[in-house]
Amino acid sequence: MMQMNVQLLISAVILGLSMSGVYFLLTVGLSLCYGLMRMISLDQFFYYALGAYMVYTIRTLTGSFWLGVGGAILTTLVVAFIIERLINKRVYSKPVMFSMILTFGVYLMGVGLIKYIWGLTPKPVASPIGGSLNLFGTGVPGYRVFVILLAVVVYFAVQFFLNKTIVGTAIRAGIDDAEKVEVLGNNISRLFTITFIIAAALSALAGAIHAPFVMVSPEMGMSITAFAFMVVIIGGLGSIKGTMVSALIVGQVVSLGALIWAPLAEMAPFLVMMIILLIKPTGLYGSKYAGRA
Amino acid sequence: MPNIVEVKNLNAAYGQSKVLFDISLAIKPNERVSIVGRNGAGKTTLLKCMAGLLTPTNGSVVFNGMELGQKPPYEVARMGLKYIDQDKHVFLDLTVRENLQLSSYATNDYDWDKVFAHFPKLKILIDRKGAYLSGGERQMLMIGRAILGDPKVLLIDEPTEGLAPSIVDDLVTTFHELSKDCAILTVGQNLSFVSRVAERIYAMKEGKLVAEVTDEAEIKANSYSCYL
Amino acid sequence: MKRFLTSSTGIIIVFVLLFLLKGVLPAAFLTEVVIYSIYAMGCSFLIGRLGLTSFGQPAFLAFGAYGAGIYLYYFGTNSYVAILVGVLASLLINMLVGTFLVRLNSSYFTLCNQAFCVVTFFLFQKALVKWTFGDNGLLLISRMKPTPVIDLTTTNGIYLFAFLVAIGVWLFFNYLLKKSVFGATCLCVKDNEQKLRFLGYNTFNIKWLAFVIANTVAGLAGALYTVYFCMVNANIANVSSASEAVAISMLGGAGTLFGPLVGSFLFIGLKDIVSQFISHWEVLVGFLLIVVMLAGQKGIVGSLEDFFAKQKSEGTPQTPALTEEGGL
Repeated sequence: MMQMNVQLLISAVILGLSMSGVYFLLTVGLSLCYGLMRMISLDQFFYYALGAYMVYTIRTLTGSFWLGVGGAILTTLVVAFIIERLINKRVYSKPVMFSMILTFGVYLMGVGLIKYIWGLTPKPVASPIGGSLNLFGTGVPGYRVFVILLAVVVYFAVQFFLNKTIVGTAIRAGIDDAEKVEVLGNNISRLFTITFIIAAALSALAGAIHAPFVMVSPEMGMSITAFAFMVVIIGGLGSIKGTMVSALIVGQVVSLGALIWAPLAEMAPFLVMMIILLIKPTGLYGSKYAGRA
Repeated sequence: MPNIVEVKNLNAAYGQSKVLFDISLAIKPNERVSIVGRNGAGKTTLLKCMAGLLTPTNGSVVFNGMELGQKPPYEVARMGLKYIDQDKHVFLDLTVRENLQLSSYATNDYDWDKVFAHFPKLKILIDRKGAYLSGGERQMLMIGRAILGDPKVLLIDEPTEGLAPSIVDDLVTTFHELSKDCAILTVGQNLSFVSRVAERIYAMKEGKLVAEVTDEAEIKANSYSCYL
Repeated sequence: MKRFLTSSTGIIIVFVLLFLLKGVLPAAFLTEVVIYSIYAMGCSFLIGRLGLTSFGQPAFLAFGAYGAGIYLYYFGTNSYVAILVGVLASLLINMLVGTFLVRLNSSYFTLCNQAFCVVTFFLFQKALVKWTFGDNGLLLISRMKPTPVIDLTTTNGIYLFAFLVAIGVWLFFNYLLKKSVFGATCLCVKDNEQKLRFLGYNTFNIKWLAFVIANTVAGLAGALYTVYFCMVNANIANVSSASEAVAISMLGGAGTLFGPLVGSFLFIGLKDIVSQFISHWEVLVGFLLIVVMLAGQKGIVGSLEDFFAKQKSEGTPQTPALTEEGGL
């Protein structure tokens, strides 16, 4: 009996970690966009769904999941670039509310188009890594471990990009004060575009690797919003480290909560978020800049 | 000698409230000019219009023979018209090195020796984060990163605000040295500083230029304060 | 023209005219328009007057709807009481939720609000499934008895009643927007909350009260909705429909008096017409939102108001601060 419980616990923790991986990939873009452009980019959830659908399509056509992930990222880069240049760039200087409603419009349009192209029926995507690992006597699906590792790699890659490259330095400076970056002679609107398409590509990656866990459906973006929002809020908008920490928290709360009582999976992180906000209204790592409306 | 900057009949407004009325001024190369005026006279607005951060309602800014028009601020900066804000805000999360790198990256000028020639202290502080610099050090860094790319004009908003008197003395020397390479336009209310730095002074009141003082004796005597 | 429209008589005349449209347009359509406009009124108020975007409105609709539904299913048969119970239930929940949400700045508010909507959906769909029957919902048609004065179980009865309620709501908001100090302080919160605090106002109380008022009105719409459809299921809280309230508000003009009415008339009209031709009509909603946001964010009524204001004051400059950002 005891043995059984430990096994359950281990697999729940691994499940939670892999959820954290997906949440992190999805929210790091939201957080970057907020930090630099002071916008809340709800269309990230469209890129997330688009990533999942591209994986499904390319996998069905070519049989390769990894080709699908690459294709998903490339397609999203192009789509996000077009959307950013045509629509999103017009609201950067406006209050956050404008960008929220506008990008929500983009999201709705995108999801509508997905419904036209792929229909309403949920599509399955088989896991590309079949085997399972033995961890303390518990069988853990290999793909989950892969997702966890991927998220770790992306975290360090993002940290490296922000801290060691000149574009990353410019982004960190812009999070502090975008106007000052511009008066030094840096093309800020190009910086915004780069940040936005990186964010969109990460969202698409999140959707692509999440696809084998869930059925790919047009509403999949909407069904993950609540968790994504809880992650960015608990971590504090605009902080990458905060996003990582709170993705870990939310992932564990979801999977361990579900172990206790199934509906807790959705409710428990919300309660955690409320408690954290009561103590610190800008989230765990929220900077003072998050206080600006 | 032709003027490096010419502002012609510049008008600006925030929404419906007008701030600048028909401002015209000119700056020659390597000249040190100051605009003095009380709070709310429109000095900062004028500088921001010149740097491309605000779009004037009408009028024009001509820099180095070229109409700036609707050029975005980064292009204005790359052309050699650099704006230094009054809030002494360096990027808090970035080290001095990274602050300088950003400016070098924008202007393709990696010659930091001239920065260290003016501000040797920055060389010592090179790996310190912006958040841990003092007000004077921040001002050094702001000017230091602005002179990368060999600007022809520096627009400096309230350079002495919040600085200790000894640092203000250093700034006077610095400005004299800098003007060997570029023209400097400062705006501010610190009249004693202005009279030690400026070769020519514009007085500004309620969005209009009310006087121009060119006489050295008058500048030394602070006699333009009657226009404020 | 504008002054007449925003007087009490003006409001009543507008609704009477709309009521008489019943001969031309189907009653079901008009009833839906009126209920939706009450629903959108709260959202429009929050966006236009307080600067708080609420993508979580379905949650507040759901509390009113379930308040009425649970009363009818388990306790009583009177639709009047059901609506009252729905409003009270939503009032209590809003008072509680408001204390948490209103402290946050506008970005965090929106995100938490939407998260709250998802949680509410799961609450009704899964956690309370024993009592709410989740997606199947509560079927009330056999439980509702005819009511005195206006019989709410008939199509005509609920139609008339919805109109009466709407007139009440409009008169109330007209007072709130145009004549009360509270309405003015709300605008100040949107403009510069800190300055208002320096003036000695407790902005938390203002925002809290505005939040409770706006969302209780949404709850009222929810209760009407239950009585009108004689059923309620978890889908009412579905976050996918969160766009509707925001789209209606923005389309009509957020913060304007008749914006929600014009918005829902157009919105539901378009929905009915367009969904005959194309199956996934959210493309159109998304498109409209983008157009409204890029075209000045003022919506139809907001733009008309500006137009008339300009006609009236030919040559004289407009008051700056408010018209500048007036639409939103």
